[in-house]
Amino acid sequence: MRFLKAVTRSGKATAGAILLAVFVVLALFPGLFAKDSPTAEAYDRNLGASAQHLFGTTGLGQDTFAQAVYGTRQVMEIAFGAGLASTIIAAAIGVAAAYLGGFWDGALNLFTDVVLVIPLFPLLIVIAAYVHNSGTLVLIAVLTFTGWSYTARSFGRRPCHCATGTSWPRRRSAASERRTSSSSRSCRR
Amino acid sequence: MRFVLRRAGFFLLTLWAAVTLNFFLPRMMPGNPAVAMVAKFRGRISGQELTALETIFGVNSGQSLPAQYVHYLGDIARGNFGTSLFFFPSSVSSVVRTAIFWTLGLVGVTTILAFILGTGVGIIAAWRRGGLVDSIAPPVLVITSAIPYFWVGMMFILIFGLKLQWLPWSGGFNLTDTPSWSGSYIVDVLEHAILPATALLITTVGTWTLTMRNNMVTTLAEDYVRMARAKGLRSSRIMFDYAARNAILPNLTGFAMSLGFVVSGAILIEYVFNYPGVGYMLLQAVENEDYPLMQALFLLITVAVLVAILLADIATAIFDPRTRSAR
Repeated sequence: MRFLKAVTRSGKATAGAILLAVFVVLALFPGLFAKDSPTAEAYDRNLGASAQHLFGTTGLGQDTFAQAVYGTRQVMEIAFGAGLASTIIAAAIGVAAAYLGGFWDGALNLFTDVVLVIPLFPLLIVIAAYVHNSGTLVLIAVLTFTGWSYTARSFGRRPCHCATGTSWPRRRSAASERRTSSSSRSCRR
Repeated sequence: MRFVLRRAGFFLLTLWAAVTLNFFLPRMMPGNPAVAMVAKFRGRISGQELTALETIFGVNSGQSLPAQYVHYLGDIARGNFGTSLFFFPSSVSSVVRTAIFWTLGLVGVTTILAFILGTGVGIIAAWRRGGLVDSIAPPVLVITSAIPYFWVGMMFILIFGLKLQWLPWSGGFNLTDTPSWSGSYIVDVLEHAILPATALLITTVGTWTLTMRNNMVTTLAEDYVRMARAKGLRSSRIMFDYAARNAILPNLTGFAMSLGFVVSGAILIEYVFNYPGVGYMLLQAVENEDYPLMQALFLLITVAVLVAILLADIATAIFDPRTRSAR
């Protein structure tokens, strides 16, 4: 209930929750929205969008709208799985660094920074090329492995530079600036 | 100086990590698909080339893992990435060299243009806050920078390429043309670059304008700007030497880094337009299971990003005295 209250209080949160809810329902009950099977090659090929086929048909005569609807589930599985797993890793490493302090703080932060600067997208492509026929689990694992560093960085840091009262944010290295810049910019006055 | 040394140390560490990751990736994968690939090519490649491939992928079981690693590091240091299998018999290095030329030409130039254009608009918007530019540019640019650039690219192909047939939309030049420094060839290359470059420009210019405008608004409120005004300096002097000079610092870091991402960031745009750059090459390598080329490209992209980050750090150290006193 408290969660519901928190969501309804802010207009932005409500909008986001509704959008998410739409996709959750799509993922849970795809059959309610798409009458066609996503794999059935039942129609003419390469049809344009029409009332019959909202998104048209593919080159194999499958209904594209049905594919989009049925695809939602896998996307949601990957998104939630990778998001959850990488948050757990990020929390463990980020909190451990801040809590243990001293040598471990430096070492864990350095490790996070190294992972942070390695370009993700090409790495994903290369890994995907080696793992043929990658299933949902493999995708989750790869996205987790490559995606936790950004979150870990924000666990170990103080929430906002403005807390110190100076209008100049403390200068950080380019490596950590790269993906955290948007978050810190919003708190800059 | 200490700051730069620290960053240089970080650069070396990350470089080592990337090279090592590149070494272990094929070895960690279930069944090491590269082994099968090299075995397939055993009849066609011979001698030195085969040995190079074998050390890259750990096929030569005669060597222990540490020995393979040392051998691999030596090969990398000498720039020996083996032979491309798809573009056989070209070496990986020569294939990469042609690809990088296209990427730098298209994405590099576009990124620089976007930075200059975006920063300029940002300065003007902040200087005349609430003025015409400030009320039009930010809202429009928020929208354009939120659209994925490959989508813009696809729409461009649909409208200007297929419907109106104004411009070519596939490849880097007409295949009937022979590459040379003749006028017609240069025009041809430029024509092919217009659509992808515009798609990139439209979607990237917004970030620079918005951040520059916000930084500039912050610096304009600083006391030293008021001081400069009190001294009666010319507005253009205050605008560029006092406000913009300081407001551009965070963007400079971002710019140096985005130059690094030029090499990797345009994978999708090159893919959409079949542009023969590094990103398109990477996807082609993946499709054709050209593992040596793939690994070299990944390493190249990583190194480009790392170098850019190092340059960004050095630039910040030069332009921002606070980094020199800190730490």
